[in-house]
Amino acid sequence: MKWQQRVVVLILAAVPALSGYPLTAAAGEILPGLTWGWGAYFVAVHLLLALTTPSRLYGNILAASALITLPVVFGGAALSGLMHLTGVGRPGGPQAYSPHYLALLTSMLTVIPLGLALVASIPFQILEQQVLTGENGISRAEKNLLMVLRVFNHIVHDVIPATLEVVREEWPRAPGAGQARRRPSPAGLIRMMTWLGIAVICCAVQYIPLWAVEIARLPERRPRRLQGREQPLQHLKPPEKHPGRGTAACHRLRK
Amino acid sequence: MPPSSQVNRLFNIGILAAFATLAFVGTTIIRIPIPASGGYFNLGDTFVMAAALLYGPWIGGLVGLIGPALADAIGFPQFILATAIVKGVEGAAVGLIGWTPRGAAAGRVAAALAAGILILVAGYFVFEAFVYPLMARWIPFFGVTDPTAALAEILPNLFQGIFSAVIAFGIWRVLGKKQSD
Repeated sequence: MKWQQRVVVLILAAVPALSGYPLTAAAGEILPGLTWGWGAYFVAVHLLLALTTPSRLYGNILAASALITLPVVFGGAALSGLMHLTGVGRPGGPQAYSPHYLALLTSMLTVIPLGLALVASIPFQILEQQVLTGENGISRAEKNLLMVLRVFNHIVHDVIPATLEVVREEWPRAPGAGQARRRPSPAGLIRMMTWLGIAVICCAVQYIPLWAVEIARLPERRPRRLQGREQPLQHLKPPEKHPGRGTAACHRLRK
Repeated sequence: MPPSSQVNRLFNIGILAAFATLAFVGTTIIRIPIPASGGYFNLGDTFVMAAALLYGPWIGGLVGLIGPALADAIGFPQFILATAIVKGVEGAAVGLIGWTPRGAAAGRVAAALAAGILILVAGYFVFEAFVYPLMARWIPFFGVTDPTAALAEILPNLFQGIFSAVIAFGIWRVLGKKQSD
């Protein structure tokens, strides 16, 4: 299946989750909180993903979905349970909140894999190459798209992995942290989050001024009547990144 | 040399894409559930506020409109509408009050962040207590909140706003100063 077809299929598959139809029509419950509509949708989405996504990618998508979903669902249920035990929770106890978390678990484990598969299906690098190798120049809209693709790619493939690595290594209470484990104070936590925010922003935006000049220099698309009268444009390659042009915070993040 | 207007336009688009992606990631990765309302606490607001303080109301508003709403599409699609409007207005307001081309004073920035927190808390309350229950009469999809749940979410939203604003203020202190230099 071509990536364009896969994207269309996945977007169509996402319509029920985004609009609510026809999920709300099948409101009968399999279990309290889990309706037939959502149950069937969950099965259909995973069947579709298993058929349209390479198995290794599907495995990674499932793992990432579980990592995002489980803290929200089980953390929420645990907090609700604690609140119930201390007498400040919802009246009705677990009977009241369990259906909510079951519904949340089902919807998150359906929609998150679908969203991740959709993003993973779009070959951003190939799109960038296609825009750059147009023989008649690049339109204004394509230049804008090129900038968005480049920034998105940079953040997803460079900034976030580097940040996660730093957080894993430097987080004060991480079991494998290089320093002695200690409990962070609220002020220390805010300081660390602020530093992390600064480093992430610096890393994310550091090449944008350079890319803006580079992309603006690309030849504009010429009117159709003038196309072909002059030499064809050279095929352009995406520029190399400039490792020497980072901020100190970003270098520290990379280190 | 390419015309500077074109370079500026591309620069702004790049900044918008960067902050919208960061707001999306900040909202998606750090999700702490709020049992009372079924919503969740996140740090996407930090990047909305920081974008508004560093680059102005247009960028701030668009980052608020795009990034967190995209994150809601993953797991909480009912909240896309409320999130896009509330955070878009929040980003625009923070930028309008707290951003000047030559760098604003700290007091003005603090006032802008306070306005942002107020819009966040009041905006979600209005949507969850009144707008969604009203819309749910015609579209059952939006029947996820009621005034009781909306009241219970005020405190977590306030906490989220304050926490995000404090971090955004720290980011502005470092990067905003560097920009104006």
